[in-house]
Amino acid sequence: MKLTALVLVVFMAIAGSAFAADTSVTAAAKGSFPSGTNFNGISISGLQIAAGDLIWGDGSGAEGKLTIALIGTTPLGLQQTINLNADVTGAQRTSANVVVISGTGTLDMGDGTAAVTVPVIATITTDSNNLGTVGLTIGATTLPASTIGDGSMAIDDLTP
Amino acid sequence: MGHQTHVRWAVWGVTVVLAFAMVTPAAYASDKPRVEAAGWYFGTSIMTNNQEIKIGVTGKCDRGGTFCSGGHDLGRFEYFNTVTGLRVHGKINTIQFHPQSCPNVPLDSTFPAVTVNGSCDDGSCSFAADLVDGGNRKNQMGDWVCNVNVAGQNKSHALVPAENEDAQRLQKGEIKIRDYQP
Repeated sequence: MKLTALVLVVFMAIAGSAFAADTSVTAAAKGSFPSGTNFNGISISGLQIAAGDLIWGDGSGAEGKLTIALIGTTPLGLQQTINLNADVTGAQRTSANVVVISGTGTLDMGDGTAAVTVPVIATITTDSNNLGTVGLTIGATTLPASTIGDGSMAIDDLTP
Repeated sequence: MGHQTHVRWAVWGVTVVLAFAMVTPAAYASDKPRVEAAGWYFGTSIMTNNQEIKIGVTGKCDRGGTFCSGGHDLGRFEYFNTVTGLRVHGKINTIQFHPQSCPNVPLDSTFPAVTVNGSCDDGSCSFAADLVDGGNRKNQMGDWVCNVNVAGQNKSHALVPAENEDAQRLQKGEIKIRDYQP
């Protein structure tokens, strides 16, 4: 009887994870970085983000797109926009309002140098106003979290 | 047959049913038509002239075919005009995958497109758009939005005039339609 109960518990746990809902991650927003934020020698003040990503409820992975622009200023005082266009290949929903998505992106520094391919990790945290924060790791550089000030972001279950 | 035996049979019965359900590839199969879009474009309509508009969309049609409606499992949308402040976000209510048919998009009907319609969860906004996947960006065709119609509020929940767009190429980002090809 104990063995039967144990088998049932294990199956219920596995089945529970298999039947978890897919997750949608969407964003169309802009935000700001703390003063003093730098990326590759450029002082960064603003973030722009668009996202459309699906995380499969059965744990088999994630897919989607992540588009980022970092608004910065060169040491000479000229505005420079750094663009990052990423394919999302993995993601974890660590809580109801937090996802960590990862993938590979094309990084264009916006200074005429050739674009390069980099790994990207984005931690999206939403609040009750559909704003929140975005943390980014681009290549080997981890930026401080950007506070989203306008637009919207959402992390939702896709339940039938 | 004792009570304990009945329970044992019942438990094993539930286990077998769950095992069958788990191997049935219906609930989360990722081989059905779906779309993911993230990027921005510059508007050219009277209401949005030269304004930067960001979109983020997920959509999927798991129930078979190329049209799905109802439920909360079809996807989500975000739309944000960085100048007017119009921002809408909510759930997709209908999704229809079809060959590209927007007259002002320079892609023929061999390219996949999808029409999505959505509304805010509280009913305070509406969103409709065609999303066209022009394929790999390297081919220079780009991805397009067309037939965009959006109504809603800004961050302060004040009504903002509705916005529409005939056809625009994404300046940044990408639209990806998977497992649907006309």
